[in-house]
Amino acid sequence: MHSLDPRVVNLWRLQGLTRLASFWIPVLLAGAVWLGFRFGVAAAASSAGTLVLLIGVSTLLWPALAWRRFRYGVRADDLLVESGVLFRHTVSIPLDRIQHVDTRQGPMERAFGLSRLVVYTAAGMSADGSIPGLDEAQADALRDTLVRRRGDDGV
Amino acid sequence: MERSGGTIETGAWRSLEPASLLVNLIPDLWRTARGAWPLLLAVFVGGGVANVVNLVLLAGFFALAVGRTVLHFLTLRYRLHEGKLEIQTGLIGRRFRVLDPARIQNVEIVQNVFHKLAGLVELRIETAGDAGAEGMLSALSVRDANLLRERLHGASLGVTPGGQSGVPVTTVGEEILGISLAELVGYGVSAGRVGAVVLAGGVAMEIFAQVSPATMAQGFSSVRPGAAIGLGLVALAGGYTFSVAGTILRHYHFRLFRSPRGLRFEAGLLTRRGVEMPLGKVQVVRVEEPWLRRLMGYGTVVVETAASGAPGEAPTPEGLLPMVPTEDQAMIAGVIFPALDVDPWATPLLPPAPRALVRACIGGGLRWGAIGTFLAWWLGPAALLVIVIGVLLGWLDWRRQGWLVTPGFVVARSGFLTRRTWIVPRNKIQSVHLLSDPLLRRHQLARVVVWVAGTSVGLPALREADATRIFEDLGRRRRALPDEPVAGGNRREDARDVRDQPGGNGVAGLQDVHRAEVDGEHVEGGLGGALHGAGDLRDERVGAVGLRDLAGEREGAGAGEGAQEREGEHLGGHPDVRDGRPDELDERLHGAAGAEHADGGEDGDQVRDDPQRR
Repeated sequence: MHSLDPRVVNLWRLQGLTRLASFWIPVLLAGAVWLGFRFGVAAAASSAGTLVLLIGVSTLLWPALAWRRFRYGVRADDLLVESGVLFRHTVSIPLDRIQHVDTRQGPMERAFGLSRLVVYTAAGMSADGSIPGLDEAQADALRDTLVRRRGDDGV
Repeated sequence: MERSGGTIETGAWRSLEPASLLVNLIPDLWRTARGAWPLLLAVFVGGGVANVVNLVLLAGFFALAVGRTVLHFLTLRYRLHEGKLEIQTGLIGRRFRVLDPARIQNVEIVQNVFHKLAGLVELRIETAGDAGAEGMLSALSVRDANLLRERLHGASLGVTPGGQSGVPVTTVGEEILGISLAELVGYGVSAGRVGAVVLAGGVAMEIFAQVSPATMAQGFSSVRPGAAIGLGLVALAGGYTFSVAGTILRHYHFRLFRSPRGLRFEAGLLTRRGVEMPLGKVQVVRVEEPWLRRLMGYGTVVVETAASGAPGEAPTPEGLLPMVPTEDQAMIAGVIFPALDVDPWATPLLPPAPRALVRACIGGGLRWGAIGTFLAWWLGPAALLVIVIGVLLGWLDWRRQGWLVTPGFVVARSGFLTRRTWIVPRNKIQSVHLLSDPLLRRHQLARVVVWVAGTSVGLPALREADATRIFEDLGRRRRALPDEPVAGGNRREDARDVRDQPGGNGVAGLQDVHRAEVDGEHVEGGLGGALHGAGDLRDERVGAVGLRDLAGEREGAGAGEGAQEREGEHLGGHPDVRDGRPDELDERLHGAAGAEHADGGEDGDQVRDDPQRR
């Protein structure tokens, strides 16, 4: 079983911050200002404190925990992916059931030199397994290994 | 490209029957009307047909529908080419589709009233792609449709069509299920639409009251309560009858046949549908037994293939067997899965983990509590009763849950009011998921969910160790069982043979499942055994005997003592349980490491390190 590329932790930090910046940071900042004028410093501090806590969890704590929880490995018969901090999810995809494999890179991922591997089976639901944050070359190699397997796809 | 005289056999391009122009017009009008409803609404609200502008609009609309039908007829061409069905259509945006027989999930022949008048049928071919019919040919002559079906099916079964005359051999096969009109009425009555009718009535009342409260109040004061209730009942009965009638129309004269090429369904009064489904394409068999239907002694069997649509969507009714007598369900399942090695109705299933009861009760209480809060303004404190009902239902539902993993199949059951049983062949499994959340982990539980093409089936919450074992086992060994039909009586024997084959250590526990079924005395194991069974997590052969005994414990819980108390007590008595668990997991993962190593994996060491992180 492998861990993800450690660089992904920083990627997740950045992504977490971006997500916060799109909603919670402006809302809570505005809230702090408004509460400050309306109810005083203590109220403003509570809003600001929430913001600090949110940023702290989503940048310092969560990505590291998620990284530690994430494992994947190609075994004799299946691809195993473990993920999730609170809601844990382990998926086993038999290799001969893999229909196609994508590697994807968003702009941020490209900046980090990382790539996301997405595995599809005939189960219909978008993607059965997804491995974020692999080194580009490694992701391509893994993709090629996974698609090379042939067998009964069970459909 | 004109309508060539060539037949299907010569592989020449062919077009639809000319009469299909008339047959398709009305459905096309309806489709266009659905697409352009805002326009039509505007026409009818804004002055009706008298207005010249509206008249022009309507004429245009009609012309559009007619044009569509004519264009479809003029441009559609199909042929059998090298065993594959090719369909091309479209004038401006062209579409060319090739259907590989091996990929066909089912072939459906539909004949609605218009088809019947013209002596034609519509041929629908479904593959595992999107839910819509992939190859839809409306309309063909009965002869052509049968011929196409024969050719495609023959190819899908690996049979090369012989050079005989093109007369289709209509293999009807052996009838294995027929549904009488009385049974269909029963199906309609138990379809559970009463709730929907009541809800619709309530909503209508509410809207009416909002729109004109005065009329409403006046109406209520002038009408005697008895009359109002009577009126309501009449409306209810009307809606109910309507839905029952619809059900009967759809499933009238239902017949299920077994033929060498698979299953064949036929049903319908106005629109007659015949579906052929190769057995090897069946992904899941689901049996639904709403309480009323179960009381009547029936259940509904749903045969799902990969064409049954995306998860969450209503399943296409291709494989719906509306009313199957309870005693025939196992037989039907055996016909669909000739290799079926378990009878989920005769075999007691394994219970969920005892600790899952707490979760089930809390879940039930919360769900019904949500309804209770809505009722609180009306019922007052009596609404608390709703929560009690919810907890009770959670408990009953937990009692009903069951699962079984045999060498060839996965069986799961749940639901108190509507009991659902799933049978999944292991060689159809696409992926296996092991899930847990903080609450489950607190009780050392986990869930296993199995995905097949088109749907997923979840087992009840199990103890972590059991869930992990099942997860590993399902992911690793999908035994391919013989697809050949086994003569009726000795199916059970066949299962035993499979069981006796040298399996790996991974299956050992699962073989015990059968032992539980065979050795009845173990079931009577009693409470002492139960506690031991639960404590024996280290044992590779935990499996069925221990789990079976837990059923006894479950009964005990029902009898009055809290299951949790007992579980706690037992955990106290066996402190090694907690320690035992990670060990077993380590074993599993080491096993996995070994496997990869043997395969020449480059990172055996890393795998070996892995268990330590827990």
